[in-house]
Amino acid sequence: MTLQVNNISRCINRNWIIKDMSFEVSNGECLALLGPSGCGKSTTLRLIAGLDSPNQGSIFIDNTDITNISPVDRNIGMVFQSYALFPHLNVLENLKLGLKVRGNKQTEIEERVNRILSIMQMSHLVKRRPNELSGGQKQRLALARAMLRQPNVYLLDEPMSNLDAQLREELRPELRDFIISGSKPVVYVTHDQQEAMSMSNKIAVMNEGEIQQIGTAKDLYNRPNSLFVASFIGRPQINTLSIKNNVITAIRPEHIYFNSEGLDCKLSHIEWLGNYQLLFIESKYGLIKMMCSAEQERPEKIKISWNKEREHDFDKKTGKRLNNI
Amino acid sequence: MINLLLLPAFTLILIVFIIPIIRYGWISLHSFSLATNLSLIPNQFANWDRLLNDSRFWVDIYQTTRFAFVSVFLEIILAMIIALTLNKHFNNRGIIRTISLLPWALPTTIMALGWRWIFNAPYGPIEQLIRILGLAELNILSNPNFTWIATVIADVWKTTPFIAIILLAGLQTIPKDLYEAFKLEGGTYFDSFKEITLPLLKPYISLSIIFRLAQAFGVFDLIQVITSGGPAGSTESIALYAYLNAMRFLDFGYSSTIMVASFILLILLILVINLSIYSGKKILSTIKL
Repeated sequence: MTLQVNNISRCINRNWIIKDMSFEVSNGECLALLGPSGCGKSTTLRLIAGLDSPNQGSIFIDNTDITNISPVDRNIGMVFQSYALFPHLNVLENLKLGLKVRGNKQTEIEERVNRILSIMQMSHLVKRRPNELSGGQKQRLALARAMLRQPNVYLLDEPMSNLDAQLREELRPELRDFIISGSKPVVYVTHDQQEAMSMSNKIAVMNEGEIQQIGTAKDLYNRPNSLFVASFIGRPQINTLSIKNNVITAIRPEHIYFNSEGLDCKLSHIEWLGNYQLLFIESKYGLIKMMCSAEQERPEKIKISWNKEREHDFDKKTGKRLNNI
Repeated sequence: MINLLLLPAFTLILIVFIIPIIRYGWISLHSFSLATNLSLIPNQFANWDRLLNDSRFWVDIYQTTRFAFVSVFLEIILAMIIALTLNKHFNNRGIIRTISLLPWALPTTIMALGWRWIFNAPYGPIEQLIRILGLAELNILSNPNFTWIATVIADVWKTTPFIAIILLAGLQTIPKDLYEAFKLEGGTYFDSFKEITLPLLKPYISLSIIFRLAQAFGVFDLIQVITSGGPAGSTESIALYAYLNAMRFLDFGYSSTIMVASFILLILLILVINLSIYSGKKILSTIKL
């Protein structure tokens, strides 16, 4: 199975929500759509699912054009941000409803539902309603419901955003196993870069309805092709300095070090963050963030520098990358 | 133990509900009319005995129940259609929503006068239309077979918007993505109405039914204005009969008996409806509260 999105655009009230977007996700691959809220990530998922239709472009699954066919015939498994579980039905009924309306035979329904229940280890929960499930169990039920249809493609819309930070970390391996074990294309929408990096093999960074860059987490971190990607990927945020005319030079805080022959600076303040410390340093190019180990001793006279090959140069007007590393 | 903070609310309920009901029950066990010089004279169960053998009362019970059930049934169906329509996105939805609520905002007496004119023979619009079509005169308000239908129409016109608003509020609590998830599962529009909308709207529907049945069971002003219970008592409701006994015949003892009897019947009715809407388990849990 391969999901192909070719040059799709979507326009609402003369606003282009999605502009000429293309990507491809093949079997067993997970593409994360990463971007700030309102950048069109969820809209992209809705276009693939068939809940909205694109004004331009086409969508293919395994070389079959699905742009104009109904959502159910696309055979897509989607996990909604809210999980969209039917609140009046218990776990068993939630799973059965879809099979029932699609006219499956009673014996087949029982068999498939029971298989999924044992895979997801939910057999003991069948009588519970969604409001009697924990956050993690709700997520598993939503996944189970999507899996039940044996879909060609999985779409996950911020599946972690309803969970608290601790649970999110706990459930990450579980969800990762699910994504890896299914040999289907997965599109994973998130606004959390850590989640995108840990869950997917490819990340598409989106902004204002456009894909800025597609690549592995390493690509995006080491060689961002625009100022937006450079600022969006990596925490703490990359330093942006005006050293040369019409050029913005960006250096990651973790690539700056003390050097007695470096740039003359003054320490402004320190954020101590347990495993590392963040130094805010005033220089003639502006405020620079420097990240170093929490134990690092500070020299009396603050002088910093960085390796030339860690420098990213971007055009001041277009934000496009200028130098090659 | 009654919480001290509940005392003000409890006192209010005591004064406006519980005491009057008890007093009505007390009066119903007495002769209390102009003939007794407006003093309470115990008469054992003479009022109740009279009630059980009063065919006019039982006819009124039948007429009131018929009025209540037919109007509420029509109102729920029409209100559901209106609510589903108003829940869709279209231009000027706010204005249409407001307009559709207008009948309910009108005072009953005013709208009832309007309907009396609409049904008026021979000058009302309906009779005029019939004349233009060359049909025989209907004389809706003087035909005992039709007149109750006229009161039902007026009541449906007035209270459908109220139920529509309750159902609309219910519809808006249902998250959109439930419908989208269901669509991906292959559900049609009709399926989603049956599997999602109706079950999730059930509390709102049962609330409307109970609320409206109780109201329709005590109908007074609408019928008083349109027909005054006529023709030949064919539209007389229990409330109208109780009113007649108290205000025209000045027999407060018997009037109270009618009120208490209809109160008991209404409670029984609501109980039966509740039982049929909710499962036995739910009823038990409400009783425990």
